[in-house]
Amino acid sequence: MKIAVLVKQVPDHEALVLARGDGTLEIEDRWATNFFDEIAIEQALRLEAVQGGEVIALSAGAGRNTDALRRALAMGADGAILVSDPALAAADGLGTARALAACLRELGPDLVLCGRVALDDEMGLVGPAVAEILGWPHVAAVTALEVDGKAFRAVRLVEGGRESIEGQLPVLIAAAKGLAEPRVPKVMQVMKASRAAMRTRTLADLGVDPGSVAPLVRTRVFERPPARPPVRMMEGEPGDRVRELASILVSAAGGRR
Amino acid sequence: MTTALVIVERSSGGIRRASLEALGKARSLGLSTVALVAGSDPSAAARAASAHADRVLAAAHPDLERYDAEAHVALAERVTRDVSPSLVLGPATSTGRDLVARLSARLGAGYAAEITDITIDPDGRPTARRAVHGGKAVAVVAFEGPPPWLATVRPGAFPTPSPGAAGKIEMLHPALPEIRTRVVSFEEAGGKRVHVTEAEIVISGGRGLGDPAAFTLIERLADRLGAAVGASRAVVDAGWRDASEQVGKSGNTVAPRLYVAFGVSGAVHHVMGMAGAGTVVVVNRDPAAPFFKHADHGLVGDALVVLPALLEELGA
Amino acid sequence: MDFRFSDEQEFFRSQVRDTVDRLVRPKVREIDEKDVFPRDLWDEMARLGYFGLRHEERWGGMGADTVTSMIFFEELARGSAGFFMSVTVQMLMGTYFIGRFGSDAMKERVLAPAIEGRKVTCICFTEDQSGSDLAGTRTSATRDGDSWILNGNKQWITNGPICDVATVMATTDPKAGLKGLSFFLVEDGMEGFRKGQVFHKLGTRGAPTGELVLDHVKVPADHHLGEETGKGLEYSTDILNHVRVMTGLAACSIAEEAMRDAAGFARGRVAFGSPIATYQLIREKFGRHYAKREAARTLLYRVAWMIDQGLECRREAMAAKWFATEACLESVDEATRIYAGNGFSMEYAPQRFFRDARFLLSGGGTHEVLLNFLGSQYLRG
Repeated sequence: MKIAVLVKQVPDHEALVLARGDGTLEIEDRWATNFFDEIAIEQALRLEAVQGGEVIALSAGAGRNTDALRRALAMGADGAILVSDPALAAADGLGTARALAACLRELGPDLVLCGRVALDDEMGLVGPAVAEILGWPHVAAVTALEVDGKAFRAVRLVEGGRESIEGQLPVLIAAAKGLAEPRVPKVMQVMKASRAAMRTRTLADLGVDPGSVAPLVRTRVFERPPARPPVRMMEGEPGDRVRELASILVSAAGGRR
Repeated sequence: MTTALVIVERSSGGIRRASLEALGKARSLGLSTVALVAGSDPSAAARAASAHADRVLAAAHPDLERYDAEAHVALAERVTRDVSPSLVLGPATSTGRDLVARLSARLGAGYAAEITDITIDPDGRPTARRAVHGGKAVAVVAFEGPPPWLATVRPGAFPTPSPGAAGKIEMLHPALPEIRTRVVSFEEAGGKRVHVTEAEIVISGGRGLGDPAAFTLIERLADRLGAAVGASRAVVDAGWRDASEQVGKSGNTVAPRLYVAFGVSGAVHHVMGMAGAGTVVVVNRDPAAPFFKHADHGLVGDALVVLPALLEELGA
Repeated sequence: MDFRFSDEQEFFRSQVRDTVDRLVRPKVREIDEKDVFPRDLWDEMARLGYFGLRHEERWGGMGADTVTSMIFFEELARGSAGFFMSVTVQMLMGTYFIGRFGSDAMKERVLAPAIEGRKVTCICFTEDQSGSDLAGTRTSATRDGDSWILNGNKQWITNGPICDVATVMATTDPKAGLKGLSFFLVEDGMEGFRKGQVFHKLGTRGAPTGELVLDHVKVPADHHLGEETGKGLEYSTDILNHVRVMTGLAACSIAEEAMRDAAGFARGRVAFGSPIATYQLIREKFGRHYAKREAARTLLYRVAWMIDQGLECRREAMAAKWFATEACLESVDEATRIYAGNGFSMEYAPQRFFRDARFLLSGGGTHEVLLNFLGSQYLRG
């Protein structure tokens, strides 16, 4: 079975991110492979361990995404492909999805795994969009996955519960928390990954018209989130504090008693 | 810009609040509103939606009962072509985000996910705001291409509209493509209480409660205030509570009017899930708990002591 | 001159950092509070292959260079200082002499398991009456046919209380002073080798530290680790350079963790109507920390590079260790001041960095000895 995993490098969740006065975004230089993408990589590796085959990691757009690909290799992926093109620098999720879909068509996997959302732009667009462009079914927010030959069963998280879904490969699965616990790479694998040669494809290589990845949605500026005033701590005797707490809850809850 | 198509998501017992809020917002922008409801028999949901829309399209088909991306996207695409809205809105729920993302690829249309605000520019194009980087910044987003312009709406970002004159309901019996994935079962979590993403008030508990049994106190307080119960990642990972209750980066993003946390430290990944909440009240034994920096009101104290006293004070 | 780390080194660092964040950091408080050796964490780090970083592939190692090893040590030091101590002893001093002078049979029996984390190692220099002054070593090794008899007492041995093997510095000729020192491998179970008192320390808690007693311990000839006796000090020079760079980088990491934490506090803490991070005298502390840490890291990695180039760098290593440690002690002090009254509380982070930083003074000679040496070298022209 050939499994492709879509990965992306994003700022570490502890990185300082600040909207400047001029509307640009300042991001501290701390990066990590997207949390949900690592889960997808882990799930792919586990399926490979049982079913055999290979796991290939893909990413679109240069910059730090090579580190996400290396992370996949360090965890145990067999290969990595970077779709790199100047036209992708400004691309939105749909443009990125077009580039990845073209690369996937060339690669011909049986299953595509990705994270349900990237924690920088928080769009959750690429997975479903790639599936749509490939003409595949997809299941997103998946917390459990079984593959048996060509059949799969996935559990999808929805508000208020879980749905069990069955279908046939090929399918795109977008991973949610709980699908798999990502392994910590062994140092030997880390060293190999740090030296690994990366396959790259340009849009021209893939027969993708650069115009088709022009963004439909663009961020004009970034703003600071609405600031909260400094916290008001409840002071005094325990009894007084509990009464104050009760009063705060009741009034904030809309006066319902 | 004249018409907004709003995809309405059903929930057990009605329709998802974000769908109503989207209808209300579209109306407040001066748009005529068309609500799309789907299911094997969507008449109840259609009636609920009609109090907030000028027109309701109720699509009935057994394959629409639960969410299958391809069936719902096919329906939405067909309706979008028929109605020609400038704006297509959906709730930023698990299903809504899934559907509208795939729809945007189907239509080749611009999409902004989980918006917290939307305005119409003088040239008739929308500008939306959305949280990025876990709520550390807000992106002001412009749509460059032609309509329709797609967005999903964060639950709680817009006010719940008051019901108005009932819009006309039209039943649709769409032809759908053969579905390739089947929902074989649905397991409901948490029973009677409203889900954490739907609630106006959320009471969360964390590791500081010390013991899973302490969540009974949280539940009693939630019942007393008509609130949902939320959980930190730590207690979900420890198996105390179900993942459907988790608030945070890898769980649910919530924006209730009131968010109260007992024994939750307030690490970055948790705050990312509730930064949009209205009033935030934090109770924690540790004066250094990071959560106090993100709170409106704080109480340094042991949740296990405060909760029983609070319940008594509230007569619960 | 290209001062940049290579892409491979940067990637390696990012992976080690992630590993430390995931595995070590969640346990830091517990390790410090309970002062218990984190055996599970030790086994996990060993399983990932880190203990063998510097050793030959033949024995399960990776043959990494000094700069790479130092990147690992710097990142590891961002977690638990106690765990850092145990791991670095295992990776450096505790296995160095075995790796350099042990027979293949000994490496098979001792080094390979140490790299797998199954045998805990330690290095024994310090005694009750001698620390920096190695000429004062009283632990003796006396020839007995083909064997050696060791007698003495070692103090402050990291990993001592749980060790399976110990590399012990002993004198074969007390009159020869510094030229009479040699290293011997002693193994747990050998008659007369006892684990004595366990020490309770101010910091680096979780690294079991204690006394080792050698009471007529008989070791076979091949347990002398060296080509000739009396060259112990000479053999130590190389490893001391490594230890000094490693200690200096630990200092940089502890200082950075302390100040990063203090920065978070300063941004949130409001006094006189503004966050204290807006006040100049608070900002100055961070400015100093930044400048000194940048300088320290530059010098430390330069020394690591010199080691890899085979260049003489004894003075630079001492200078780097001294500078980085002094800068760290200043930063951890400042971190407690930034927290003001809360800096005195055991509930907040600064106290732990403050306590842990003191150990940096002990590794590789006291600062008084180092500066005296550097100064006298300088004056000799």
